[in-house]
Amino acid sequence: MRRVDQAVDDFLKSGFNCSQSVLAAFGPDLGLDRENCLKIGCAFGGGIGRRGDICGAVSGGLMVIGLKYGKFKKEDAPAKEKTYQLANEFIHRFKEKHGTIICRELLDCDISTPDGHQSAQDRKLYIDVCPKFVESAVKILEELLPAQGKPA
Amino acid sequence: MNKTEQALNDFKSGFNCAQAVLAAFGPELGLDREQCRRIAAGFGSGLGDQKGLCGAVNAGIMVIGLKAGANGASGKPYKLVGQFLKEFSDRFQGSVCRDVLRNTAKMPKYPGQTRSCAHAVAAVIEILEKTQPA
Repeated sequence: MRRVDQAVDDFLKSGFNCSQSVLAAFGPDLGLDRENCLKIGCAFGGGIGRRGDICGAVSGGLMVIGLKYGKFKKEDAPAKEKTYQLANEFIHRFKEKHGTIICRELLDCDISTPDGHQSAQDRKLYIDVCPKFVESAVKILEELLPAQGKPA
Repeated sequence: MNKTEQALNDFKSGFNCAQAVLAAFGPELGLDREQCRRIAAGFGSGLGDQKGLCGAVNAGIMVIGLKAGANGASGKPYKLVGQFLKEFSDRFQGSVCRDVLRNTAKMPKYPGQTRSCAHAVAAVIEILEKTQPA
């Protein structure tokens, strides 16, 4: 199954949040098993615990970039630079496409309030709009991380 | 070595704030240190140096997920995240990297540390341990 289809399926059919769906599409190929991906991404949904802050698909994407290139040895400045450069490029491309990485701006709805959350549900934003952000995050990651097979 | 000492050692030796926090908790939650450092690598200095949400806070949110996160069950971690962010923001007048840097710079130097946001790393660990015992 294509990564983007897996991520959107996880989001729409399995009920995982945006962050989980993005991280779990890549994690297992990068040394993080699916269960741990789902746990780590769990509290980042809805712009961090449904606060309408940073889009979970974006935070999930940053985790993927780290898994691939992140510095894990003490003296490895190039790995840090590479990770930050890609993190910024990922955010830049996401913003180019959607204008912002902030959940409440992406949805034009502040889901951190009970009324906002209800309104998002009534207007099917989680079903009709959020999958676009999951899809974008996965596609941008595929562009940025050409050989996703193993950690660099 | 306790978690705070562990994290501050890592922080001093050049790992970012998010890596320092996650690697202090990861091993008891099923992740090895290398995995922790990789996952959190892109979150330093407020998301890859964007001065957005504090990296130590982001790592705290990962820890909450690891502790509470049954697959997909969002209710409990979402509530815990709210409490965690509130307590952190109360202490540092915000949770965005830029504000945390500004406010920790006014605090007394953290013993043995060069970067002022060692205060934020230590605070995240303290709040997590207090509110969410292992």
